Amino acid sequence: MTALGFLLALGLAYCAWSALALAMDRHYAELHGRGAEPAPPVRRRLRQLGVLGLVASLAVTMRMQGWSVGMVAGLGVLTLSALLQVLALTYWPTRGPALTRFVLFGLPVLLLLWAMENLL
Amino acid sequence: MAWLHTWCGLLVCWVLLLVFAGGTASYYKEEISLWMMPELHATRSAPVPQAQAIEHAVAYLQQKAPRAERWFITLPAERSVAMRVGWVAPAGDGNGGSARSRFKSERIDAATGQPLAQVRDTRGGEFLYRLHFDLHYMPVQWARWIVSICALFMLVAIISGVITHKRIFKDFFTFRPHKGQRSWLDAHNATAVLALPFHLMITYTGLVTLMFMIMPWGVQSAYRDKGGETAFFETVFPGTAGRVKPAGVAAPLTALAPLAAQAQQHWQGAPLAVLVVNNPGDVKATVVITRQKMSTLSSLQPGLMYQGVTGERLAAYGDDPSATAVTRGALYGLHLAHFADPWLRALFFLCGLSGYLMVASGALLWAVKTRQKEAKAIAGGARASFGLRLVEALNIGAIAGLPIALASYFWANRLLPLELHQRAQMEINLFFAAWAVAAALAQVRPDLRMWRLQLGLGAALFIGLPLLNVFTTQSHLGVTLLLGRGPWPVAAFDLTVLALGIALAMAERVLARRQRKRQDGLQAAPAKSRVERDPVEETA
Repeated sequence: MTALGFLLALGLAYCAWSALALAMDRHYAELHGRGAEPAPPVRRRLRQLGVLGLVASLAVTMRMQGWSVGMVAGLGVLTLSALLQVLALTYWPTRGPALTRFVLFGLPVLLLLWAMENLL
Repeated sequence: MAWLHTWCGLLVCWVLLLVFAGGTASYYKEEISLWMMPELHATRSAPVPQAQAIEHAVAYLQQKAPRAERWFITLPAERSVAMRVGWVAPAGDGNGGSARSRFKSERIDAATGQPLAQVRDTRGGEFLYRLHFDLHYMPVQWARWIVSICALFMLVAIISGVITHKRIFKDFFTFRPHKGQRSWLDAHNATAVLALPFHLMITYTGLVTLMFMIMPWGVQSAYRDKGGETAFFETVFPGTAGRVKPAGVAAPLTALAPLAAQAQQHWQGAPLAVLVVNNPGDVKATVVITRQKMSTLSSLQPGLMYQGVTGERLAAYGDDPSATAVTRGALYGLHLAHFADPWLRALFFLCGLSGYLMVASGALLWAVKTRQKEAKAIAGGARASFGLRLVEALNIGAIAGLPIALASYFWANRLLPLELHQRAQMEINLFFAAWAVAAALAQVRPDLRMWRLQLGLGAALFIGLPLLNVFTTQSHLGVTLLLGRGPWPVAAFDLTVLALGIALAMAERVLARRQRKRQDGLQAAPAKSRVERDPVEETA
């Protein structure tokens, strides 16, 4: 694993967990006020994006280390990013989305750098 | 099912804490060993040709232990740069006991064949690795049975925990701090569920590493007519092959370097791990050469056996492993994680920490819950029940006491005089002495003050380690990190213990605030204040 690949996988997984958390009533309500619930299409879209992000994160680690070791590394990345997500939801409930957005905008840059590193 | 989870976890949790602490540290076994031998920090030798290194090792062993039962030559590898030679002294002439107690090893300079200048006597990371499944001060077989039974309990606890956790998806990201019992439940759930793949894997594969001891019957019946268990172990662990009785007739040992070259050619140039010479200097000498593990999941380590006098190849092991062997190799390999690169290794380490926190928070949760149940009686002036007091005391001794013991081991490494008799054992004795004192004190007064004392002491000892390095070594953080001279593993060790120390200190601060709040509350409403009482999250 390279630093860029590791950060890319971690960032993808972090954003994916953010989407999945936002699709849940409790965490949605933390942002939009007590009792607020995501509309069904929003919830569906968030869940789809979340699953897509998790798969993409696994794909990155598996691209780097082969399917067997890559799967192990991928699960480790999912664990770490989920723990970070829990910490963010607990201690920065209002600043969480800004953090996720920051990571999300960083992802294309990381992806580009990582792709260049792979091709060169 | 909930009672199953509770009791399977509670009965063995203190042993599991030790196993988790030792196992998690073992991911960095080589790095810990390097840190504990500061004499090696300056050596940065150029790689020596393998043939020359082997010749030096043989010459050294010929002179040091010509009559040994067995020699081991461990070639340098990526994470352990020094060459090691070991031997099993012959039984008789005053030293009886098992082969393990007659085993000695030294590090030598591959370029000169001389022992590395006065490396201090220490077991290093090897002690923590062995502690993880062999415990200490007791026969290895007993220890492994104890650890396997605890691991089996943990496997049951994990599975029953998943089944009884009704809100596993609803509470996936939930952590509600400062809410007493609920916070402990949340912490227990988060550390368990989010790292669940790791916990399941490590417990199950841990049992797999000991499966030939736990369930020997399959092997016994399958190998009944094929040489028994010995033949089986030679196939699975080629390093143990060729252990025959010596003939008692002297004969010179063949040159090992050509054999090593031949073996390397056999494995398409893959690096070699260990050369074992059984009965050196005897007609019936054998030489076993094993290949280094590759960076694949499987930990299978093929080996070649040669006749020690003629150099004729006698057998090849593990060149074409069966599907069962590969399956076991992969499970075993997952547990050891030798395939892990630095990033993945760090992830394994963090998952191990989360396992420690899972066990710790589970044990604390039981104490908090039980105290809540007894709250009314205690508020009415009754004493806490014996079980509650015992668990609370054991929790302090294990959760906060283990970091103290670990830090003491590292402090002892730096402070014990170098010429001390049996220095390595002394370091280990200090580990257990520190732990025993912490556990005993906890039994005397299992209260909030004791938590603060022990967490604070653990924090001070861990944070003090990088400082201690400044006074006792030439390779402290100022040199390794600020001047950027490395060695990097040593710098990383210092930073890791510093982080652990800070985490312990933060836990201590949280408790201090709680104690202050409680005292304020006590003045306001004396009757209610003793109901809530929950110790603290911590890391080691």
